[in-house]
Amino acid sequence: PVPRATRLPVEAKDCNIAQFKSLSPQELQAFRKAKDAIEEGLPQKDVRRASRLLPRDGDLQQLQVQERQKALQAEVALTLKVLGNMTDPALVTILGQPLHTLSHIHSQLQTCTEPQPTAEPTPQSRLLSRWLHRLQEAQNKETPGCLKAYVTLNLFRLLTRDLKCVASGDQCA
Amino acid sequence: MIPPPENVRMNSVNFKNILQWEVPAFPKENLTFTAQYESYWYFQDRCKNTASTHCDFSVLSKYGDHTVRVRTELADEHSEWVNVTFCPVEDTIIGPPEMQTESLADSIHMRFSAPQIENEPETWTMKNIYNSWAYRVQYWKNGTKEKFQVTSQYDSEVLRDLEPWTTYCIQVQGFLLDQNRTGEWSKPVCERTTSDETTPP
Repeated sequence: PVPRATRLPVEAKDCNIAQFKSLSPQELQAFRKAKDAIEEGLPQKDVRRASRLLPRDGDLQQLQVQERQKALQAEVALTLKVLGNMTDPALVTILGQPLHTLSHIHSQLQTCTEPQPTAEPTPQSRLLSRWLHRLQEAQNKETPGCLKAYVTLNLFRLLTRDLKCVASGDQCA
Repeated sequence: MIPPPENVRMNSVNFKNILQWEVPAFPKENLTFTAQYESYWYFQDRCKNTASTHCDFSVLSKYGDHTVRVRTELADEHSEWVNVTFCPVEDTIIGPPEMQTESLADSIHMRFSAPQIENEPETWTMKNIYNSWAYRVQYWKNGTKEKFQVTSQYDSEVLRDLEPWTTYCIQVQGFLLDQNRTGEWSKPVCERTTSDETTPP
């Protein structure tokens, strides 16, 4: 198999994040299979350390509606970066489709968060700054093993709770 | 030089994604084919050294563009790849819904169910994938050309104030309101109305 060049997400044509209100059972099953496979190899020390980095339930909802997309985009980007660097052949086969889906979600979020040309720049809230800082700090300070544990533990919160909330727009309270 | 497969196309209905092709003209027998899909990192075999002229790609994620490809092979030689780009959620054909009808006096009651999806549980239908799913009904008096249409976002609908003792034929299709995208029509179903009075004319 020919390894793909560094994968740049393809720009989504338009913002249609609403389509992700709920991923289908088949898609979720592919993610579950990948998560279970990765979790098998996670050292407990990484799991413990990563658990402390996880956002608390409901954190995303406290953000303003349009800022949730940015917060989720940062989480998806980190997940793609970490899982995209996997080299274990067994995992690579299992991760192919889930990462394809995540990559598409990421490009959708990129399109949705692109500032409109005419829009006035709005200052970033303290909550969003703290959210993004937490992720940046984790990438700067934590070990690859801890980051792998973090994105694995966070995967289903991201896919079912956070993605559903962002896809539901202002109906997610 | 081995010629590539011909007329390569993706035939997808309700996310049953079948790549199809035809055998190229070539003097020798025993041609085989390998079909692949572009995984996140690289191309992965889906159908390897197959003699058939189709390959099932229903495992593909429903979202985003996928590149699938197929080539001809003979012993150690092979043709160029033929690539097809395909986005299931945008390109799959929406198959016909199912419909049950019942005639009651001068109206016909209809109940719809959206098409099921390959590799998904029965409870997860095309309606779950598309937020703006609706049913578009087309009906006409049997033997006439004039057709009438009704669109409903519900799983049931009633055609009211129909002519008594008359046979009406009905078809239904899936319809995406936000994309103005239509699916295949169901086969026509014909029902005869009665009237409030029990005796026919």
